[in-house]
Amino acid sequence: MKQAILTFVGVVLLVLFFLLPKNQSWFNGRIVGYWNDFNFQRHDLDPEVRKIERWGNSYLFSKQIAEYLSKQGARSNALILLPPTSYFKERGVDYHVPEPAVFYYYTGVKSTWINSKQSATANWMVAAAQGQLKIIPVKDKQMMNDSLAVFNKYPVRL
Amino acid sequence: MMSLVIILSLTYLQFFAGFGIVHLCKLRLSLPLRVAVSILLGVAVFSIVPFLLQLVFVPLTVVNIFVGLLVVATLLNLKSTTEFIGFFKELRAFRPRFKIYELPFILLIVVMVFLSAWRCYYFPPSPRDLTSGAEVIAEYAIKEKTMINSVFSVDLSTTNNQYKPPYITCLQIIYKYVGFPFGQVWLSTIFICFVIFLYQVLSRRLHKIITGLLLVAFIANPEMYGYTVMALFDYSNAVFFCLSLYFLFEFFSSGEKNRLVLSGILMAIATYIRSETLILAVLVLPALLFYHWRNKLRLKTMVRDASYFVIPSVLIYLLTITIYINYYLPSSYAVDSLLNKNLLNLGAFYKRLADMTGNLLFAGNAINYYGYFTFLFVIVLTVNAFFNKPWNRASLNWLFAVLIIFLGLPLIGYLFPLYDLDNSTKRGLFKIFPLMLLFMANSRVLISLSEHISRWERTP
Repeated sequence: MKQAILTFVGVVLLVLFFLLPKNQSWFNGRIVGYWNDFNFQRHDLDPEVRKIERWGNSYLFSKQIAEYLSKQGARSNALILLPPTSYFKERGVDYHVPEPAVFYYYTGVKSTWINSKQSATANWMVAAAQGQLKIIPVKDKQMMNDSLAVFNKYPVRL
Repeated sequence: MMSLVIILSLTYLQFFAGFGIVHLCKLRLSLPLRVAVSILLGVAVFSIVPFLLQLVFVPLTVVNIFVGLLVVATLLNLKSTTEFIGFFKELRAFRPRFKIYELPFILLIVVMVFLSAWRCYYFPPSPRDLTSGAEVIAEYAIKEKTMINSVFSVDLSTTNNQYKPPYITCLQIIYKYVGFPFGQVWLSTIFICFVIFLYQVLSRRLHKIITGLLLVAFIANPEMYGYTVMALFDYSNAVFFCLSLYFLFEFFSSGEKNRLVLSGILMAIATYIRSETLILAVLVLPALLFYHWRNKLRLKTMVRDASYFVIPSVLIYLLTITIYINYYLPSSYAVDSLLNKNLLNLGAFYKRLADMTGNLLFAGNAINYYGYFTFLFVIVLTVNAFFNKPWNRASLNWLFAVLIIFLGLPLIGYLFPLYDLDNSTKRGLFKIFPLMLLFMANSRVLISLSEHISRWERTP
């Protein structure tokens, strides 16, 4: 009987604990939310789906860039200049640009940012127009300087 | 199903390696505690073996790594064959007994742990600290069989994460090799074993109702729970730091040197995971010195015991930071250049202390980040202070440990300005919560309350 009373007290304490505002929202978001997620996640174990679910457009666009370079036969020796996220945002492309180490992790392709010393040696660059990505080979120094002048107007943030 | 078999086999191997260390340290622990501590030590062994292979330039192939792990686990158990057989006899006879009122808490904890483990398994690593450092290095280590790989030829001007100690890199390599494309599952092993450890330690003096409630409150710490789902350094660091202090305080009460040695090893593992832990290890030393002063021990004993505690951490720091970064990695990283150039200005220390207290612990984002756990601690501490003879040695030890983190993190932030408030300190505070929990577990107020409940429960 006393054990039953203590069980009841335990349940009441737990309920009270999760009635506290932050605990309640945490429980709903994390425990209930994660449980709901689990019920559909367990049917879809494809690693690629899981990557897209976690990393979103940042991963998807990076993969598209890498695939384009593969088709051009330029993947192995490419150093691709990536403009800042704010540049893409202004041109209607929702691409959170991963830093070079993360881009390499996603794609196996080397990249550089506009504020890096390596930016001058890039042989490809990504631009955006009308909501579309454009992957362009760098033809000469003038082209690189002109592009950098445009990209440098946008703040670089991680 | 196959993943489950693999993870159980790996956990068994980790247990085997850790069991050897527990036996070498001649520790007498209850069965669940021995299992939990052994597996945690085994995870630490796993995180060091690929690094040692790298140091001697052995290619990090799957065969080399697993032969290395088996050899190390076997060497650690050369003297424990009889004990190992004895352990399995004990395990066969072991019948866990639960009171019915424990079940709601245990069920909820199991659900919380399961969901964390599932997401840890399901999702790839996401924190940029990992994907631009340990994770990308591990990914290419598998392709190129070395941790010093093509990642270092990438433009790394945006990050210094490649210089972090190779703890996660090594574990990621092992888990990716056995078929977990995103690694990470080792974090769930650590989480589960730590929960078992805490449940056992809390139950020693507290009634199971209070144990259950405290443990639920500890697990439901939003930020900390988040980092059981996605791998980063800080959760593991908090676990091994807490274990180190646990065995140090056990040494204080028993005087058994083996516990001090294990404490030193565990602190070294915590330092391996996050190198700035060395500073906290040094801050712990006054407690050790006070123990010797109180027991009127000789200076020679004091120096020797202090060495047992701190030298392993110093050695692992030298190996992973000074030697590995400067002599192995292709690009150099001057740690001393990160040091505060204006050390005489103590204002930075007070500012960090004030910001940490005001923004993270007691106001600002305190509840968003850590729930009500800090407030629970303060309530228990305050009520405890009004008790007759409020302080016992164990509670004072844990209170001192809390103070070390409370002052130690701002000190680290003052010494290394790169150790910022919103990321490094926020996650560094994970170390304080298990210490607060263990203070509460030893507080007079909760022990007294537990005794009252138990007495009432026993009376017919």
